[in-house]
Parts: sequence; C-alpha cells; structure tokens
Amino acid sequence: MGPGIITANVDNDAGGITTYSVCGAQFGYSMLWLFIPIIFALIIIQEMSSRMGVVTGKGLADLMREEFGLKITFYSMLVLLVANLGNIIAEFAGIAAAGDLFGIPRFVIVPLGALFVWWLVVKGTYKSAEKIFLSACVFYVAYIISGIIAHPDIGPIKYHLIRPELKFNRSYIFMMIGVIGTTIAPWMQFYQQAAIAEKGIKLRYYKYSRWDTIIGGIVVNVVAIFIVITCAATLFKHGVRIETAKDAALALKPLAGNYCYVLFAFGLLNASLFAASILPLSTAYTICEALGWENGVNKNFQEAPHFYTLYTALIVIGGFIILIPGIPLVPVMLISQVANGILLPFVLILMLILINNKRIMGKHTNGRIANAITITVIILMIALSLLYLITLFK
Amino acid sequence: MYPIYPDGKSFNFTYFSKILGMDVIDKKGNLVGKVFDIIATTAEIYPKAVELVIKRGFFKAKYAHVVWLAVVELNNQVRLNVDEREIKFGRFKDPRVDISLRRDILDQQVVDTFNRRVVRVNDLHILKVGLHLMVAHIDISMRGLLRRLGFNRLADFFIRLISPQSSYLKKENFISWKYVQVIAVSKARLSVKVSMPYNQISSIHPVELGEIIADLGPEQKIALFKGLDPKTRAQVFSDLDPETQKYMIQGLEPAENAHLIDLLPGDEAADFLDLIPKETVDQLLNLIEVGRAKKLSTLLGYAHDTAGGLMTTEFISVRKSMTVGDVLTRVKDSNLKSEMIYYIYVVDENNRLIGNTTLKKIIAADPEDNILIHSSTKIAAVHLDDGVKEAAFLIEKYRLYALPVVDHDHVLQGIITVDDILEHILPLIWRKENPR
Repeated sequence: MGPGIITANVDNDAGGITTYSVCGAQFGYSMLWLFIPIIFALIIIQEMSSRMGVVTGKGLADLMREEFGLKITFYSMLVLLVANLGNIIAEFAGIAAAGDLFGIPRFVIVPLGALFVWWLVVKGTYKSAEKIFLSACVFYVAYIISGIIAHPDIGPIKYHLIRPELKFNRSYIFMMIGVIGTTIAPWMQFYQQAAIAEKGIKLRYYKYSRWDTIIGGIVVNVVAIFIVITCAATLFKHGVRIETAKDAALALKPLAGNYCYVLFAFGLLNASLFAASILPLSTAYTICEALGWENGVNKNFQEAPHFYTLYTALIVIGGFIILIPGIPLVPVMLISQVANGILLPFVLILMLILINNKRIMGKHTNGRIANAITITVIILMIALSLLYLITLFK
Repeated sequence: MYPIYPDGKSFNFTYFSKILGMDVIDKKGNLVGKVFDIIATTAEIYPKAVELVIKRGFFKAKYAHVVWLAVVELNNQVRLNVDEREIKFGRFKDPRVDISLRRDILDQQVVDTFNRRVVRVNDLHILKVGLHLMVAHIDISMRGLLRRLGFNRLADFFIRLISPQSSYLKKENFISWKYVQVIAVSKARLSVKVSMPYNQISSIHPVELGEIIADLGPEQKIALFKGLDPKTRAQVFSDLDPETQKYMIQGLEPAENAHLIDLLPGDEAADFLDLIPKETVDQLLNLIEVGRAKKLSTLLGYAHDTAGGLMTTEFISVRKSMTVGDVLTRVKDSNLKSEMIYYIYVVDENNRLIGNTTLKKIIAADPEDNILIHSSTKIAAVHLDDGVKEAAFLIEKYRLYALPVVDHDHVLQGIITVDDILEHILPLIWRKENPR
C-alpha cells in the first residue's frame, strides 16, 4: 500500500461521498461521462506529484518556496489553508451526519471525533490507525453491490459514460466544478508528494510508485461512479432531492434494506475520520514546510509551536463550525468541494512550471502528453469557474 | 550621518529583499532592467558581491551579468557607469564557484551551526560599506517573513497596539554568517560550494550532524556528507540509519567509499558491506589494504545475530613470551580504529587464547615482568556461532567492556564490545515495550 492508494482512499471522504450522492440524485446518469476524463487527469496529475517527490526528495511546498520565492508561496498557502479548512469542515459535517443516522447528537459526536483524531496523531498511534481506516474502506463495496442490486438500466449508463453532455445552467456547472474539485483536490498533490519524499523512494523503484498511483486513481473513480449510479437508480428515479444524510442513506436500500442507515453511516464515519486525521496534519505540515517553521509529530510543542498550534486550530475550528445551530450539512460539504475546484488550476500551473524545469527535474521533466492534458485541465477548470460566475449574474 | 568605517567609508545595513527588484539605470539614466540577483564570492569569511544580475522582461525574461565594479550608486536604485548598449542580455548563468544569493541562500535551507539545526532563510542582512556589499547575517525571523510580504509596518502597528513590550519588536532573530553553512549544491560535482571548515560545522557532534543530515534534501545530504573531513564522516556514518547509509554509499565514489570503510571499526565496516550489492563489495574490497580486506570478508561470512557477525577484528593480542614493556609499546603503536584498547589478550604460538589483562593492571607493573604474571587465565569467551544472548549474558555476569570470540580450536577471532551488544539488544527491548 503506497501513498497513491492511501491518497485515493482519503479522496473518497465525506465531501466526496456527499458530492457524488447529490450528483446522482440530482442529475441521474447524465454526468457519468465526466469521470472518464477525470480518471486520466487524476492519474497524470498525481503521477507528476510523485515523480517530483522521487526526483527531488522534497515536498511540493518546499519546492515552491525555493523556486518561486516567499510571496507566491505564501499566498498559495493562504488559499490552500482556506480550501483545506473547508475540507476539514466537510469531514466534521460527515461525522455529524453519521451521528444523525446513529441517533447520536452532534454535540457529542463531533467533539469526540475531534478529540479522537487529535489524540491519534499527537500520541503517535496514527500509523496503526491508518491500517484500520484503510481496511474499513472495503465498505465502499456496499455501493457497488447496491448499485447492482438496484437493477439500474445498463443502456443509459453506457450511453452517458461515453457521451459527454453539457448543460449551461448554474446547478449543472456548479456540480461539475464540485465533482472535479472533490476528485482532483489540491491537498492531494501536496500530500502525495510529501509522503513520497518522506518515504525516500528511489528512482529505480519508481515504476512501482507509478502503479500505486494508477491503481489508486482508478479505484477512487470506480467507487465514485458506483455511488452516482446507486443514487441515480434509487433517489433520482423516485425524484428524491438530497437534503440530509438520511436521504443519501436511502440509496443503499436495495442492498441493506432497513439497515441501509447503518451501512451508510458507518462508511461515512470511517471516511470522515480517516480524512479528518490526514487533512489537518497534512495542511499544518505543508504550511510549516513552506514558511520554514519546525514541523513534524516527532517534535514536541516547545520545538514546533507553529505546527501544533496550526494543527490543533484546524481541528477545533473545523469541529466548532459544525456545532453552530441550524447549519445545513449537505450544502456546507458541497461548497467546500467547489472551493477546491476553483483553487486547483492555480496549483496545477505552479506544478507545471516546476516539473518542466530541467534544473530541478533533470531528464525527468514532463512529456508532451502530460503537459497537454494538464494544460487542458487548467483551461477547463478556469473556463468552468468563469462560466459559473457568468450564470450567477444572468 | 552614517557611522564611519575604519577606512573612512560610511557603512549601514540593508536587506537583500530590499535590493531585489530595484530599478537599474545606466550612466545616461536609461532604465536597463531590474535587480534579479547578486553573485558573491566566498573567498573571504563574509560573502562579498562580485556581480549584479539584471532581469528584463517577464515572459521569456532575459538576464545580464554585470561586474560589481560597474555599480556607482546604490540607494533607491542601482546606477551603473556603463552604457545600456554595452550590456549583453542572455540566459541566467549559474555561477560555478561563487554563490548566487537568490538561488543558493534566499528561501533555501542552510545549517545553523551555532544552534545545530536546519533553518530556512527568510532574508539576508547585508552590510553596505561604500558600494561594497557583504552578507553579515541571515534572517530567519517571523519579522523577516512579514517584511518580505510587505506586512511588517502593519504587524508592527498592531503589536505595538496590543503589547508594546513584545519581544517581537526588539529581538532581531539573526544568525551571524560565521555560523551559517550554505549547502548550495554545485550540480556538476555534487558537492557543496562553500567549504566547511570556515563555518565550524566540524565543531558539531557527529550525532547532531546525523540529525541535521536527516533534515536535508537528498542531494544536500550527500553534498554535506562529502564535505566533511574523512574522520568526522566515518563517525557520522556510524550513527545514520541503514537507509540513509545506503543512500550515502550510492552517492560516494568507490575510492571515497573504500576510504570510509578504512576508517570504520571492523564490525561496522562489515555491516556497511552488507548494505551494498555483491559486485560492489568485491570492487571495494580490491581498493582496501589486503589484510583488512581479508578480515572483512571473513566477518561478512557470519550470520548477523551471532557472535561472529557482531564482533570486530580490531583488538590487541600479544604473545605469551612478551614482557609488560613490549606490550605497552604495542598498545602505543597499535594505531587502532577500534576504541577498545583497555583489554589485552594473550595468545600462544597458534593464536589460541590463553589469558587476558587490562591496561590498568600493566600500566603500574614492572616493565621487565613477563606479561603472563599480570594476566588472568580464567577468561570468559564466546564461540563464533553463539548468539547475542550468550554474549550479553557473559558481559553482564563478569561486568566486562568487551568479550573475546574464539573458534573451535580456541583461536582468538575477534571481540564483541558492550556497545555492539547494546545496539543489538536495545531494539528488542523497544519492541517489547511498544508493541505494535
């Protein structure tokens, strides 16, 4: 299990599950085609991060600071902080939603979850917890089985998988940005490159790393496609619009029947806790790295005060916002994924400049195809964001 | 207005970030471009500016390198005494020997040899004497960060408002250049540009150096390691984790590796050879002095957790016919790589172990006495195939610092020192206390 597969599984977090569910419930199969280009784009972008990690032995934030100087790095970090805080809030929203399904009040489950995550990392037991989280990801199979049991019509699925369909209305574009933003999230590039650099993987073994990235990229999208299909075959068919996590749980009814709540709640809780334990840590790590502050869980608070303050603050703020009375969970998760989608092109532009620099990458600079695909993603994301802005004023 | 420097020139301090991006004008006052970089020589203790790099254009930017002597004014802009038309623009040339302040220092990681840690440079504090620039300090403070972002006035204002006594306003978090080791890597040779002895890196304890190395990027790791003097290098190497050791071995030339093996104690040299592919082992053994190479290849044959695999072949053995005086001369001349000179082992004509003594016993003895008079003949020893546990048990039971290792014919083969045992046993204890 390499960084690629771990990153991919964290990618199917609370925000991801929610976005895919809403996508299926709201638009049926009509957005399925989007996942095919996403698979390619995700693999190529993640491959770039891991290649940079292997060749330079440095994290993306480190490289940005050394090549672009402080200003560009600082503002990138600021935006990343905001986007990741959004993601973290979405994870706690996921924990709260899972609590709703189990009948546990938010005021109990969110602080407990926050404390658990904080304790996991600070006490250094994270590595063993990671294995449990990873194995619990097997629960995603529930979506695949449910999707099959729901007897969806194969015809339309095939049709929509291959046939791109653009609708120029606000909610469709909003959903497209959300789906791309949650699947190719900016934190993933920072996290995977740092993980690879930390592992000290050598160029000779890079081919295994590449397969790790490819498998991860395919797995995350297959699960996403099945979530969309399951929700489309159940919720969309009956015209249910998702307003709460309970509605999303109904998608699992064909498989779990009356127990669908439990299955959905468990999957959501696992995904949320997994991502909530990685995201704040990765964010604090990346920012400290970029600004030259001491970091790492093997240092104590006196040695790395910025790191621990940032890490703790992210968890506390993320959890606290969810406890504000009357805050709607599903829109919160959705909006954070759209923020990701808007940030993505900027991170990609910086990555492209770095990876095409011979002084840094030697003979491992990007090939033409990778450059072309990345540039396409950048242009598409900017175009979609602009289009969304236009529809706002129409 | 400004303080006066001994030779009559005024001097003041400025920051590199303030000079970067300044307008550069030629002798007629035409705009040439903007300051992009300063190239400095490290021939003296403080890096001194020798070249100005000017940038022109944004996309497809071009650069010009101008000798520092051409600079005639440096305040809010840089004025040159040449004509714009004489300046040739082209590619940025990475200096080979000198350092680029922008690429090699600013925003990069350097070693703070005073506090023994790796830090990231936020700004350079520059001493300006007349028109000469010298790097005096590096700035690693939060204030330096804010200054470069242009928020320093704002931050100062708020902090003065909240707590006027804050240490933030007074404390300058500078590190004197004397304590800065730049690890700018010259791509061609994969070695550090700034030589080490200047910056007191050798005053750092090898264990701490190992920790510093762990914090660096892969190229910098090797470059810093290569820059150490051979003896420190060997000491640092012993303390690195096997993964990093492997990395270093791959980064060094065969001759450098052979030299490193030479300086390592026997058991560690054997561990070293264990880390690398078989072909490379043979190649390296050819580069090492024959006697030692032989010993090493024997050590390589033993299993890792046996006395044979653990032992070192550097020890002092003397013939039973020798006098105390002879033995003392032996000890003085032994020039050992191993630290264990406390025990002296007595052997017969066939190298069979028959007794041992300690330096303490013979130092006060009559030099004319036969060594056997001052030796004990009841000695604890382990066999080559014995495990670590037996060795640990004997060392503890007899309170020894080292234990001899013999073969079937009781011929002395090597010794196991107490730190080798500890090194082997500590991980086992750790695992028991922190079960995963």
